[in-house]
Amino acid sequence: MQTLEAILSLLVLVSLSIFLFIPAEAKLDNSVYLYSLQGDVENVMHLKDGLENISEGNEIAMKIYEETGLCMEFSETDITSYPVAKGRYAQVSVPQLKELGLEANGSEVDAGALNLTGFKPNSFSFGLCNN
Amino acid sequence: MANRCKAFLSFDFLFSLIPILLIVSYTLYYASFLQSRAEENLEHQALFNKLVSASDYVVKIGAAKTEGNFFPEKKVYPNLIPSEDFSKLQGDLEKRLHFNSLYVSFEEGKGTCIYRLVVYEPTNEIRKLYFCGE
Repeated sequence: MQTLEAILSLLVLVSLSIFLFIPAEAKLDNSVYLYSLQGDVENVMHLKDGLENISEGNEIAMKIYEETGLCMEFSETDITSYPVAKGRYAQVSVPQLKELGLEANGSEVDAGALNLTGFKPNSFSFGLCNN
Repeated sequence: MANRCKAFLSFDFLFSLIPILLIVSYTLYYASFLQSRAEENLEHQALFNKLVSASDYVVKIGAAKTEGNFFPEKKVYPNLIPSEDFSKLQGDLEKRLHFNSLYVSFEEGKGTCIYRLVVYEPTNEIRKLYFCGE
């Protein structure tokens, strides 16, 4: 009888411990959606001539940030939607440039020895803000 | 003496059986709860993926500005939306992609919603185009 009880208890314990290891909530995979949104931002930039005009590009980037709360960065350009308080400076991580100094209106203030040669839409990234 | 022992054994078994039954029933209940939650998550992910696919079609072809009728004259401008009326497209996608309901609009609707960024041609504004489905 005691053996039977022990076996039953063990079975219950094992099954309970299995359930405890199963994650209760699966995370929604939105990677494809974010990738599509990145395509949207690139298309919108082209449609509004944001890639040909830096100040226009900055305005569009800020507008998109206001609408979506998501940030974008164009490597080797100074177009960004990183939120910077007026009169303040911020360091922004850009994959290929490592760091880029920005002021309130988003224009580049301190790129150090980095050579900003022009726009490279292929090195564009869009997603959750770093701050 | 033997009968007294038997009685004790039965009582012992009875008392241990109650918590075991409770634990087993709780385990079964929790298992069914986890299963139903996993099903819900899967359904939600499938709906989300369908919305992303539908939105991709609408933004890039379905509702995008088009010039000319046939290749090579035909030109499509992805993400440039010339009209606010999506009713025909909405009905078509609802049927083809087996949505219970699909709502495409510049205003947010009910159910699971995603948005896409577009340029609305008449005002040249950047706007969010919502896709809500159930």
